[in-house]
Amino acid sequence: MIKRTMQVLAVLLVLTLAMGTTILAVEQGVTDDSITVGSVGVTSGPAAFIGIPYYEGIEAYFKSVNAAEGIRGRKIELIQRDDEFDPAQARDHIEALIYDEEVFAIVGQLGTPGVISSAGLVQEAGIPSVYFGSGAAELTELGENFFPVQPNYVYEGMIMAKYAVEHFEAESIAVLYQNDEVGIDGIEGIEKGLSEMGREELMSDDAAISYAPTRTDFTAQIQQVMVEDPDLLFIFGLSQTASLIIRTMEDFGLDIPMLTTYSNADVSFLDTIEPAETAPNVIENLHIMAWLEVDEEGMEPMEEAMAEFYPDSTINSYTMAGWVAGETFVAGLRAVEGELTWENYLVAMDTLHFTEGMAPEISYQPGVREGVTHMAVLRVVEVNGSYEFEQVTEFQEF
Amino acid sequence: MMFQDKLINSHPYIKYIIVTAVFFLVLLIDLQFIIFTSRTINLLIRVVYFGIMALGFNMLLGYAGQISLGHAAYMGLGAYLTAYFSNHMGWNFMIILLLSGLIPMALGIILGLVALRMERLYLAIATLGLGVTGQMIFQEWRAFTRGFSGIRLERPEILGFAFNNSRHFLMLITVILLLVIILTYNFSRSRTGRALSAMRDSEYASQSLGISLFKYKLLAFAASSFYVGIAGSLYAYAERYVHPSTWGVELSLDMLAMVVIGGLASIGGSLVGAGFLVLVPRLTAATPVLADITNMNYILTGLAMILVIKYMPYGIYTTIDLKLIQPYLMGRSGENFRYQDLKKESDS
Repeated sequence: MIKRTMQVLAVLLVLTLAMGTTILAVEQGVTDDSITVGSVGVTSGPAAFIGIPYYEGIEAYFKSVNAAEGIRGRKIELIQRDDEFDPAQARDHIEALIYDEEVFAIVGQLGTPGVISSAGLVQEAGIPSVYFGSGAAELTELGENFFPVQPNYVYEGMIMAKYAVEHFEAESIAVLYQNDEVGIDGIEGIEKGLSEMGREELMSDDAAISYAPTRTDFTAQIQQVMVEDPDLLFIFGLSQTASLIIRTMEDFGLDIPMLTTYSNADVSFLDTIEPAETAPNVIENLHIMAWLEVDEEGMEPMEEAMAEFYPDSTINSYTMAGWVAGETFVAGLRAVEGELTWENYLVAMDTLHFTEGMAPEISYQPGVREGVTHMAVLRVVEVNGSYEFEQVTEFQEF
Repeated sequence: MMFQDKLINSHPYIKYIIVTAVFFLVLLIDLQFIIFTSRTINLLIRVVYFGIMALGFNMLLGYAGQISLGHAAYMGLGAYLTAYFSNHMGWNFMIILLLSGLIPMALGIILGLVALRMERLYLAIATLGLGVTGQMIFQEWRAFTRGFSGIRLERPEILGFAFNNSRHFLMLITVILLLVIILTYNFSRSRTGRALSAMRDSEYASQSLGISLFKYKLLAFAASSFYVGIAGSLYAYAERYVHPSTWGVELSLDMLAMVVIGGLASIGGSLVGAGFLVLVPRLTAATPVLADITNMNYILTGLAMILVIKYMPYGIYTTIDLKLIQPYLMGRSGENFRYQDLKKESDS
């Protein structure tokens, strides 16, 4: 009896698999009057301060495009899902967006762990995925349907090494890096940059100090930095750990220049440090990388759109990043020749050379997915009791 | 005696096979007409692999009466082994699955030789230490685990058929769950299973009957490590991403919660417990008022544990089984199946 039942189950399984599944139509998400796109990123919990303005930026751009009659008469609709910065939830949402909601493209997926965990799904489906709120270098190698925009952390590490030599004129450097995709890519880039400049002697092996991204106490790491006594400290970590490191530096009186990743380039990051209370002496030593080169004129369209659609929100660098995500996706749409299909969109994006947006230049070539390569250094300054950024170098490539 | 009664008595686990067949049929219909969303399918996948995990933990806690707060480490090891073998060796799915159970089992035996000389609170603390150490190793051993970067992997392939579609994958792991259930059922009713139950109920009495406590505790530890390793392997294939933050003490506590809420020493209880812990957070997130309260899922899980211990000390499934299902069956056939089972066992 049992044997027979198992045989029936086996036959059922084989039959089911043989019947196959629904084949995706490449025009999914496109109707005569709309283009539906999806995105996944954190909009609740401790990291919501990144996701909320970021998605306002994307929505504000799409709404402004829709208000100007859309793209060839089609309005863009965004379905945004919150992954709470959890990679498993990100994967679920991406799968649902591709197969249940049947969106045309994934636009601006936010957060390295979620992006990495769902990359296989995006790769497998072949759906266009434009702009990632992540600088993981792996994204540049995942395939022709991936279009990263933000600089990758390996490249950022290289350019940080260049600034260490040319701008800071450092004779020795130390690096505190979190041992995940962010920091590992970063330290690789710093080593590569120093090596290409023939200045490997600036950083000893002991001066590259790793830490777990879940760490909350940096006493040991800062003591090790003090032993190394560097001219410049790189902090390759995201907001929560980076702000704790800066507070610990204040506690130890470690008063040396610091340079951190562009992922922290926002006033809301400074708010997490509460510099006036916890780091009044070291905060003005903080330098941050920046990749968006925008003057007042360049900011105008976003400021107008935000004033119209999100009048109560404050514009910050995350809003700007979201705006760039929207701009990049739409630039690809405008470049499509013929029907709006995945194939035609990928062809259009593959040779995109977009210079009219907020980012200085976004371009792709077949097999080349580097993202933005011009970066500058900002410095924290105090203005009337509050802290803001001041640009101290020109935008340069490595 | 009615035909159904004869069937149930001659093949006690036929109910699991029937339920699986019905579930399969539903999935088959869904495959063609897409009734469930991908998100629902992914939740069901989680219920299945957490169900296998809970069955393994129930083997230790429910059947043998031993506590462990470090089993997340075995599950993590199973997941990392699967990712490593799949990405670097390209081995067959069944071999990887088996090794992902056997290696944690071997480790479980070695560590069990030390840990199981302790009892109760001391055992809990020792296994907690093991769990924390395991997670630290996963975080730091980059060559094997890629640390906080995590590892991506592909869904399994059998005879050239890739289970990339989540619906297909759900069917595959449902079959594995059924095999695990049958194995558990037979194990719990074997000489070893009875010895474990005797040990759980009274160590002195069981020793007086010649049962070696150390041997059977070690057996329970090994068997549960095997199950949990298998669950870890299925986790890796299901999620296609393994990250060290998953394998913390919270997961070990979730295992405890699953078997206590579902039902100790019960197959159905393990599955109900797994379903409860997977679905409650999602239902909470979908409920307008509750969704706004931070960590509401943890609050509800804790509340459920208190209520279950207070009002359903045998767990949700066992209580429903004893109060509703068994009386119904007894009323229909006039016989008590539990009593029959016990009688059959004592006769044999």
